[in-house]
Order: sequence, then structure tokens, then C-alpha cells
Amino acid sequence: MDDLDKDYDNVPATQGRGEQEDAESDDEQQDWRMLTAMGSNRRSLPKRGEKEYEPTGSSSDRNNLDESRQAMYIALNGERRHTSKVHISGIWYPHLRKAKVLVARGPHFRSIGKADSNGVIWLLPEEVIYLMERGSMSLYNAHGDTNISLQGCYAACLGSCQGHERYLVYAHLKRLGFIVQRAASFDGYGEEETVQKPTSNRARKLWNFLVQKFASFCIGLRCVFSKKIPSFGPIVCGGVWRSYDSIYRALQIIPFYSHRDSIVTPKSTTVPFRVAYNIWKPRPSFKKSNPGEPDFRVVVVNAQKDRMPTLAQADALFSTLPTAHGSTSTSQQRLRDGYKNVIIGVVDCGIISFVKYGDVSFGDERIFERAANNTTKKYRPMKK
Amino acid sequence: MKKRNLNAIYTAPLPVEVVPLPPLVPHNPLSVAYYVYQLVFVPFLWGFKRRRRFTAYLELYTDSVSSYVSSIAVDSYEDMQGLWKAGFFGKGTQSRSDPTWELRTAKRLQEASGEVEGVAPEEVTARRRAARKKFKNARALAEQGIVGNDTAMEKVETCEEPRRQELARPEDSQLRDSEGKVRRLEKLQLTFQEAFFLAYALDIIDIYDDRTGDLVTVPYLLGLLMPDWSPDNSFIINYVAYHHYRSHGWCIRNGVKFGVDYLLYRRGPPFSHAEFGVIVVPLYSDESKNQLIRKDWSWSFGVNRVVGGVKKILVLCYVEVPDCIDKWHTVEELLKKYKVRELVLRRWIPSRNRD
Repeated sequence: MDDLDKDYDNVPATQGRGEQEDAESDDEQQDWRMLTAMGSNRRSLPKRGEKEYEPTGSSSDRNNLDESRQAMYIALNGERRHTSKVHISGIWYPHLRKAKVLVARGPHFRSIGKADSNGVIWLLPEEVIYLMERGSMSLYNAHGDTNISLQGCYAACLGSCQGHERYLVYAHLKRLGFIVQRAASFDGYGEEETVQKPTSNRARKLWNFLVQKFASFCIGLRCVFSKKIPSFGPIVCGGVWRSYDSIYRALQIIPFYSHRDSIVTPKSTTVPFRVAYNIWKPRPSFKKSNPGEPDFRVVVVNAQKDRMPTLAQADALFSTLPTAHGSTSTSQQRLRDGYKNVIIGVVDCGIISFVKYGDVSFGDERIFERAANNTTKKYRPMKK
Repeated sequence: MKKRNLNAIYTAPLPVEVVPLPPLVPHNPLSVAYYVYQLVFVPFLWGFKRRRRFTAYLELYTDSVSSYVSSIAVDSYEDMQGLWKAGFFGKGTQSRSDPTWELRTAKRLQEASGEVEGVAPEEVTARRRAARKKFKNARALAEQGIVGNDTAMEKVETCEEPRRQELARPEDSQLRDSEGKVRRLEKLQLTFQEAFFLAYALDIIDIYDDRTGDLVTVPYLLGLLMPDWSPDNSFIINYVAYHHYRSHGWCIRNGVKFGVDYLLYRRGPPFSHAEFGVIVVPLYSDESKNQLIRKDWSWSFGVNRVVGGVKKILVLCYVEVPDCIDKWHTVEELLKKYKVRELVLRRWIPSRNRD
């Protein structure tokens, strides 16, 4: 119950500021003047007021804002053109829920679309809407004679995207530059690719059991000698203790779920808590045919319909995931990012926020060894 | 300001003494003899020496309707320091955490003579605040182009200690005892989980009933803290989490100021900031009960904003609740019926995880 003030304060002033800007970078205002020649060497836009001196309300602040707004209108009024070289046209087949690409051109196809055995590229509905929204594609009906409008495209394709929320998250991540692909469990029931091998064997369990029994026997013996009845404690009874390490080990009586000896069998996940998209950070070497392990896995949830997952739901979700780090991970990484992790995209009336869920086990990390060792060593004066 | 050697002040992670065995060199008979002496005789000799024990007082609130424990506190100065320095237990009633009221008061009263050594964390904060205020003013001036940027930064570098403006207060004369020393008016309050851990698990604290002066035994204390004896009693659920983190070496302290149940420090508040904020959630075997206590997403993002804003990571600590518990269980058997499972939650920002 101590350090609310302290924790805010210890962050040096400059760093604190940077941190805040990082956190707000999502909703930073755009300075549209960069698109025009206007105000090439002006002062920056005033920050949204949070400190006592921001914004100052001065006329220069107002001019800056006006100029920027004007620049935005000019930019929006400009005629948008696309080069015909990379323009994509396709035909929507409602019964297949896919669009056939007539001519595949342009950089999009590095991460979008899937070719069949005849070399024809097919686009998924979310990919079609995304390309239509960008203005990079024209879509025709099955007879190939009528051009489908954006509105028509939404009407035709959105129903096959497994919910509007999923499309919103897909488009959001695409626009940010991520490579987004449907996961195997997009519309199936928990048919993820990975199955965990049991990580423990019986011998190890037996050994743990024996060690535990022996330890509790020793402690019991110690308690008998110190004339304490162990029925109501203590755990750390009188007598000589040789190290803090042994005290901590004696104290560890609360059972916990460990990553070491849990046998994970994939459980069936429940809607909506299953991976919808696999995403990769943008990289030039990405290959559709051999994408490799995704950087993140994304679950999409409608905040109006669904609450946070219960542990059972989260557990089922984690059971379908591979471990996040290799054997080289540090304790810090495992505790901060989790032994396994997944991103949940929460869509609340169109507003998207992400939260990363990590599966951790504090009992697996031997913090106590360090705590004990820090104190049994001779003390050195701290380095400057 | 001289930096204190924290390792020398906070030597032990728990308020229990240990006697390490000497290193054994098999080919040196002296070493072997000394090792055997340490191994065999010291435990006997140790039997005559009682372990350092602490004393706390329990206050029971009783009215016509109910009766419950209102506080458990330590009032001897040595005990307060002992419990704080080894494991960071409790909170000073007049201080932010570390019981420093006496030090601060002595400093205030004797400032002119400068006899009192030491710096309280509250003073460090005050200094930092003053420095930051100055920095902000300087930055504001610099942005308006009044003062050059370099001058502004220089000013911050040379920020001196804030001048103490506290004058003598009318009650000051009553703060000293007959010998002129500052009277010890501060107590160290323990949370129920801390008190139970010290009394049951470590067995180093004697808790007395404040009114009757009777010793409160562990079973009696447990009865007072969980009167209904239900498996999902909030005391026992929180205690299970508390004991779990303590036993794995974390320094765990109350986190209600940050909107969480507990804070986890790697060693303790003087060494580093808490890395994790823990919220304890009961986990029932009956799934419909779990559905009932499911939280909205707004709750999760709200807590995460607060916890993330002070650079901590939110941990959901699920404590599996047994269907029934028996009064005749020993405490250890009781605790072993619960099981802990953890998840971490962090806000994820796509644009910051892209490159």
C-alpha cells in the first residue's frame, strides 16, 4: 500500500513524456500540410491539451490548425487515380464464396489470394472487400457483364466473413501493413495445426512425489524436535535453517498449474474464442506457399455480445496454440509474454482494441533462488 | 546525496534467521571437523536460543450485529523495523509504506542542528516533484522561445533541494518525551494475509487480543478471519494467492491503490518498482458460477490502463475453489485443496509491434 506517487514520479520527466506519446500514438492528429506546399517551415501542430501550457490558445496555434484543416480538404478534393497496370478485376461466385481473379497483377498478390491447381487465383471475401475499399479492384457478377458496386460487394461478401467484427479487424491490421491470413480454425471447431506432446514422463512425476514426501517428512521431524504440533502450522518451525532456499522450498505447499508437467490435449474451443487470423509482421521475404510460423494469432470478439473469457474458455484456446518462445527464453520473457500467448481483438461498435493474453506460471520460475542468493553472498557496494 | 547501500540494509528476504553450513573441504580435517560441529552440534545449541519473535496486537470490532477483526498492528519500533527490513511486511500508519514517521519528525524538529541522518522515501519524492516542476516550467519557456533550450536543461541539472518551509507547529511540544526524544507514535499495520503468513507459516509473530491481552492462536485467528468457513471466503482465497507468491520468492504487497489485489516486487520496494499487479479470481468447479462472475471487456481495459500506466503487467490469478472444506483439516491440508493458475493480460498496440 505504498507507492502510487512514487511510481508516477520515478519516471524521469522526459521519459514520462515519451511514454505518453507512445500510448497516444494511436489517436495522434495528422498534419495534412505535409501533402501540400503550405507551411513548410511552420511550428508543429499544438498538442491536445493535457498540460497546463498546452495548447496555449494563441493565434499562431489557431492558424496552424486552420492551415492543416485546409490542407486536408485540398487533399480530399484531389482526384484519385489508379494505374491500370496494377488494377485487379475479378468475378464473384456466391456459391463458392470466393472471387476468381481474371488478371493477377500488382504487389498485393504476394500476401493475398490462393491459387488452385489450374493456376487460377481465388480471393476470399474479406480480401475482395479490402481491395474494393482501396479502389484497387473491380468486381463483376458471375456472368461477367455487370460491374458490382462497393455497396453490392459488401452485400455479397460480408456474409461470408464470419461476422462484421472479423472483417473490421482484418482490414485494420491490413491497413497497418501486417500480412493477415485466415487461421485453420477460422470456421472449424478447434482444428488447429499444433498438437502438444506430453512433456512429462512418469519417472519424473514419481521422483517429484518422493522428493515432496521426503521433504515433508524432514519438516515433520524438525517440528517434533522443536515441540511444535504441525497440525496448525508452522511450516517454517523452530530449529536451524541452513538457507533461505530451503525455507522457500518448505513454504511451497500451494499446488499450481505448471507448464512442466501438464499434458495438454487440444480441447474444443468455443465461439468466439478461437483463432481467426494468423498475422505476420511485414517482410519482403514472405511467401504465401511457405509462410512460416505467424508472429501473432488473433481472436476476434464482439464486446457487445461477449464478455471476457472464463478460464475454461481461455484454457481451451491456449490448448490449441504452440509455445511462444523456444527453449532459450528468459524467465522475464516467459512471465511478461506468457509461455503461450494470443491476441484478442475486441470490437466495440466498430472501435477496435487489442489485448494480449499470456499463459504464465509464476511457480515455474525460480525467483526465490535469486532472492535467497542475493542475501547469502557477501555484500559488495553497489556500482555507480 | 549519497546513495545508500540497499543490500546492506535489507539483508534477509524473510524475517527468519539462517545459519549457513560452512564450505566442506574433504581433504582438510579441520574443515571436516568444523563442518560436523556445525551440522551436529549447532542445532542442539540453537535449541537454547529462541528465535527472534515479533509482537502484534489485534483489534476486534464488535457491535450488536457483528464482530470482526478491524486491524492487526505492530507497535514496537524494533519489531516494525525488523518486519520491514526483512521481507517488507506491513505499512507504517503515518507513512507511505516504510515506517519513517519518526525519522521525518526528528528531522523536522532538529533540522537546524542537523543531527538526524537518513533520507525518507517521502523526501525523495518531494525532491523529484520539485525538480520536475522546474523542468516543465523551463520547457514551457523554451518552447515559447523565451529562453534557449540549453539554458532550460541546465537549470534542471542544477536543481537544488527544495527549501523546507515547514515552521514549528503548535503540537510540536507534545511530540517529545521527557528526555527530549521524539515519541514513537507510529505503528506498522499488517494486512490479514501478512499477519496470518507470519503467524502460521513462519511462526515468528505473537498476536495478542488488544482488549483482553490473550494470545491469539493460529486456529483461533483463522476462525476470526474466515468466520463463515466457506470454501470461497475472500480471506482464504487471497491468502492462497499471497502464500503462493511469497513462497516462490516474490515480495508481495497490497495493491489496492493501483486497482489490483496485490503487487509483486522482485525483491522489494526500495530496489525496484513492482513488475506485476495481481487480481485474484475464484475459480469454481461449477462452470455456471464462473459465468456469473465474468467481467466485461471495459473492466479489463480499465484495469489495464491503470496498471499499464504505472508500467506494471496485469496478472489474473485464478484460485481453484474446492467444493467443500472440513473444519478438521490442518491448515496445510486446507491450503493444499486450492490450486493456482495464472494468466497475464496486456494491452497490445499493433503499430508498436510491427517492426
